[in-house]
Amino acid sequence: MKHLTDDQYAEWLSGVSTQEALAHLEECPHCHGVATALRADITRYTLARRKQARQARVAHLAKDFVSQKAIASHRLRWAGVAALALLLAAPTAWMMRTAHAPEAPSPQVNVAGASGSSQPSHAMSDDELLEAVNNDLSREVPQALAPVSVITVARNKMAASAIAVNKTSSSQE
Amino acid sequence: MEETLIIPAMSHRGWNGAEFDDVVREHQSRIYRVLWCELRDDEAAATLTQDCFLKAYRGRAEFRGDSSVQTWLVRIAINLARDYQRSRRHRFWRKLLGGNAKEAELATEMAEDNAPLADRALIARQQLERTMAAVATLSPQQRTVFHLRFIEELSLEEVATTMGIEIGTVKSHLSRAVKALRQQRNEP
Repeated sequence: MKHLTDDQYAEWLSGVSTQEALAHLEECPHCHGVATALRADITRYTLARRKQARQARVAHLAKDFVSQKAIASHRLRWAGVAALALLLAAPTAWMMRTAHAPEAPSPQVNVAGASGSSQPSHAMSDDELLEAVNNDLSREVPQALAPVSVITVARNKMAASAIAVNKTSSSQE
Repeated sequence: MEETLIIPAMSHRGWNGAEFDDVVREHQSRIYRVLWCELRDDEAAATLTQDCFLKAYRGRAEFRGDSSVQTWLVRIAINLARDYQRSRRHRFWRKLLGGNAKEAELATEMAEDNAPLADRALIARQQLERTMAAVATLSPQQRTVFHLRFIEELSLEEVATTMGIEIGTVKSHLSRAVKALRQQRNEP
């Protein structure tokens, strides 16, 4: 009896066996045994490779997931640090900006206004400055209330002159 | 069978990003497995899987629809794997790392999974190691044909189309694989 060839086993394993070969497989225990063993080997090998590939893919995906999570966590941490730095830097920057801003000119205006000059303070001589300060200090009322004081002075002068007129008229009588 | 083997290629020319995403989702597992079986390298298989889909997307206009999308993708993957295997870097790392330890480990693991009894486990492990050794003796093309036919369950025509060879050559490669398996069993 002539057994099956490797080509015929390969065809049988690929599902394209001839009727003649199938008939032989049914009759010949040797060829049946070989074919069954070959199929078992290939099935075992196929399952092993599929499993190994699946495990490799799962491991790779897990590694990818972990690395992506680590990157996200890393970015989040840096975002937090950046926010904190901004939070600390903003008030400092504001304070520095305030410190470097040009000073309010009010005292100089006062002094300049008192001296009746529009020149900046550094243009005044020491004597002028001293005089302006003295004038400012010797005021009875603040500069803002100056018109009121003028009115008051004028009223006092009028009252004094009226009293003087009255005294004069009574003495004539 | 794990996945749908054939998807209609009717709208391949009009694949937009979303449609191609579906193609990727449907085939990426298989493509990874094909590449992994060819290269036995996790990282390389993952990288080349991405390259495969990138290449497919760029060349989608060239896909004529003569074969299934799966066959087309597997062909791209096989070509990428060949290019990769040709590279010196792969040879260097392959020599340096070797694969025998992994093979033996897998054989033990599979045998333990499939055979609860110690004797059966031992026999199964030996059989698996023998089969792996037999497949390792095949040429790269013979091995690829063997993998596509039995692991990916492609038909002989699909294997021929994927590999760009005649069906007769596919049969011849499978016959050579059978011979190697029988030789490992010390059969006449």
